[in-house]
Amino acid sequence: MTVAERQLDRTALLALPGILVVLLLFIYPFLYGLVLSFEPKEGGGLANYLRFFSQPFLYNTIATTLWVAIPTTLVNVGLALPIAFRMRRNSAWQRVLTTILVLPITLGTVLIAEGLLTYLGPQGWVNRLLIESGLASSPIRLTHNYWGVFLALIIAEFPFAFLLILSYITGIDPALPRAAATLGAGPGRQFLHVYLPLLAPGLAITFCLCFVQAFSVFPSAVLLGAPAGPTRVIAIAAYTAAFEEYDSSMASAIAMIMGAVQLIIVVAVLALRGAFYRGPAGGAKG
Amino acid sequence: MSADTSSVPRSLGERLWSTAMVVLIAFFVVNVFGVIASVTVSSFATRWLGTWLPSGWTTRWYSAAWAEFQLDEVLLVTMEIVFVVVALSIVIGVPAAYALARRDFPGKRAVLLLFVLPLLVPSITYGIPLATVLYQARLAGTMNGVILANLVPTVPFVVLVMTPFIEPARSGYSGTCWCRSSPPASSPRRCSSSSAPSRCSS
Repeated sequence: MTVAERQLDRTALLALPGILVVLLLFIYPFLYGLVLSFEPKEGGGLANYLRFFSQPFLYNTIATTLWVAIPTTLVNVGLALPIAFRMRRNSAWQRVLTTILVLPITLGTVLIAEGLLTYLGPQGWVNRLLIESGLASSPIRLTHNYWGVFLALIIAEFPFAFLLILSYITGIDPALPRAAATLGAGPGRQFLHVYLPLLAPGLAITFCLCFVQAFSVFPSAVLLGAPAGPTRVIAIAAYTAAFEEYDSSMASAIAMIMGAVQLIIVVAVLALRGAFYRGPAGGAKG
Repeated sequence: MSADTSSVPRSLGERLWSTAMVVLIAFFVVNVFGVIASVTVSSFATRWLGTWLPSGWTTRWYSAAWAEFQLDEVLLVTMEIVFVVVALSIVIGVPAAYALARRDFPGKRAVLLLFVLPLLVPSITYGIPLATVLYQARLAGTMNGVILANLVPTVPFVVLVMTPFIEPARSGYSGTCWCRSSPPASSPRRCSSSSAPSRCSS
């Protein structure tokens, strides 16, 4: 083994602490939960799963969650992509906007949910504006229903999608679109033929991460939604089982179902990614 | 970059599109500030019903909350946990991101998958089994337990966010360090520090 090869190995070892953290705190508990979900309080090994899929109150939460998570993720990624593209140049505006958009992330879901309750509520500024400008005759109900959760997820997830996509866009070698520009490609064509193919993997990851966050929506579904009915998402069902019924086996089963449903969507998105051209984002040569 | 794209004549459609984006951003930002202002105004309001602004101002909600929930202690504990979690995630995550961005090693794809998984699985899915395991290790309800639980999403997040930032910086600088036979452990600090950790705060 030459000196250079030994150094290569040592650099790869830098990943070891991170790997250990994930193995101990994520993989092990996950496997533990999987085993636990097949050891129900009463009944055979599959009792928890049979119970989940035989009670509409439980299995309907899957559809409810998807009905919240998929539209919000599509809207967020769909809006974040053109806006991040518009903001791709390192300007003062880019820095100002990034700082403003970090605000909702740093302030946390609970503060945003509380703010939205006041802002969108029947006495809030939005409804006052709509009524006084004559656009609405009576307050529009935007909280404690589907739209409350929807808007909360837009406010919370859009900055996240924007910052991720922006980091992918700025990671693309600016020489590539410049080369396209010398051949007469305007911003629109540069976007379609240069940026989009290179961004495909990043977009797929962004979509997945946003979808996951929206899928496990919990605080805003309770605070802004109607947790007993239209926004009784699967996370609420799992939480109820774990911390109100103290049935950690049933809770683990719901958690596993949740993970499985989500994994199907994520795998589908990542498979779609393969339909696009994949290449190194930094350009072929350094 | 701006010089050569502006030399391409822009059509009306492109200008309209560009304006639409600016309007959209402005709309979003106005609403974000509206939400934050709402909760701020409400927290200082004595009575706020059916008017644009509350009828009077007070800070008594803050003193009441402070007294009732012993907020000074709560805030201190929160800050301690946040500080430890952020420090640990950076110390563990950045070297891993560096290794993944710069080196090819056997099983690299598996390691990448390992770091993506905690972010792709909802927090409740791993949170409930993790809570059970932490209870058995007598760590649940302690500060160490909370710190450990918080590392699960933050370490992979740091790794995934930092990797694309380290990747394009590959070209010259680290190679120079390499030639000057600086050991690899010091080269992430010396060569990439200008490009990478400045973005760490985000």
